[in-house]
Amino acid sequence: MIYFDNAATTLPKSKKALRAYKKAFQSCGNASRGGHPYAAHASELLYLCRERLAERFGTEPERVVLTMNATHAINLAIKGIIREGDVLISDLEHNAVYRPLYALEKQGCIRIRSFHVNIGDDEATVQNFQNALDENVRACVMLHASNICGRVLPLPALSEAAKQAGVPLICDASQTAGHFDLRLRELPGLTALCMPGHKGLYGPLGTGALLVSPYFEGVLETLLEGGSGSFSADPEMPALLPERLEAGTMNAPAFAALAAAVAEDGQTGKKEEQIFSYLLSGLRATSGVTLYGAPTREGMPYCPILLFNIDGKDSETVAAALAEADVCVRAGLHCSPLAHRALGTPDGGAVRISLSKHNTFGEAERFLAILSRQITR
Amino acid sequence: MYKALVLSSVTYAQKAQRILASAGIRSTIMRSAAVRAVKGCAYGLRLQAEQVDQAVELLTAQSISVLAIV
Repeated sequence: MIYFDNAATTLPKSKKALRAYKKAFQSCGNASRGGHPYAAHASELLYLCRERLAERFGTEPERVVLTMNATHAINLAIKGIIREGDVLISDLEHNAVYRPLYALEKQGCIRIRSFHVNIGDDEATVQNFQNALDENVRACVMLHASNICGRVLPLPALSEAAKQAGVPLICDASQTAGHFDLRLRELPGLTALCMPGHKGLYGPLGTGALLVSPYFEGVLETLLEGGSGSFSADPEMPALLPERLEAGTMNAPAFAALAAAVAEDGQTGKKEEQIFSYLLSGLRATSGVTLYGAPTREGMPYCPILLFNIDGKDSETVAAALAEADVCVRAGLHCSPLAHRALGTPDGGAVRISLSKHNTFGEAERFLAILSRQITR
Repeated sequence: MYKALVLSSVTYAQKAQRILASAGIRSTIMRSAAVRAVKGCAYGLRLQAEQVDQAVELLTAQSISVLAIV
């Protein structure tokens, strides 16, 4: 089986993460719900996860809110910080960003505006963003990299522009967390970083995190209210993070696994980049293949993701045929209709392949051979 | 003799414990009726009474609020 759907979730997962999960599965009580050893053990595992994420991404452990996934983290950030006014997003956003904002817009709270990402030109992207940053903009939400074409946005320049404008910036780091260096302390224009535990961090499904900048001094409104393990007589959620945004029982074994995964080095290495280049060249050389949003020159920052169609064939048909040949890809709109529209794919979307550190050159060769056979059928 | 510093959450109790440990102050995270009496269900850091003043100073310097000492 060739697994080329790592942008959805990475496989295989960290072995250390699995061992940590198995160990915690039968040893965790309910974190911060008692003074006995099982509860204390669960609390310690959660704190370990916070510590490791905080160290990796440049904030304090108490500013790491553990979530179910990146979508949960993004919703917490958006609905915690944004109240009114115009909200600026890129034209490549995933529904995890667009749908919660759309819901707020439907309620009459905000107005969504977008700026164009120039796939080939970072300076133009930053200029487009700055041009859109007028006095009506009260917040920005944007991805760090596209989940359909892999293009990495110039986040340092964009966050600096947001800082100059005095506007909070929430970043969806779903495709980059774990692949690239991202440190909140070094990006003071970034208010919050949202990420899944189960993609570039190679942790379990059902985990994610919202990391709040050490420079952010505001208070996040709550999305969920419920038990928090402290000050139970108070009808409101606790005032301080992280418990303020963590209502209910936490999945301590899953976060124990995530803590173990975060401790490993999963950053995009030379091998992934080389396989990505090899696949890009192979797809470019294959007649009948149309690529969307792919690199136009060497050295452009990308996650290892490629988007393409076979001329005359629907993307789902191609994906199904690839699945029959034991190749796992994803077709359609990838929960990112805005991005597909921006990249000009047809109504049926396109086929996406996405790599991890586990993929090999042999798999890339086999994939290209299988794809060529699909084209000639 | 022991005293307990009352913190606002288990996360802050854990952070405080680590800060104190790095200064050589041993502490235990605990719950008790006395801790609860301060502001409701909460977590305390139990430590030697003679180390309380130093502990509070260390935690205050790190912007960690000690709600009470019981």
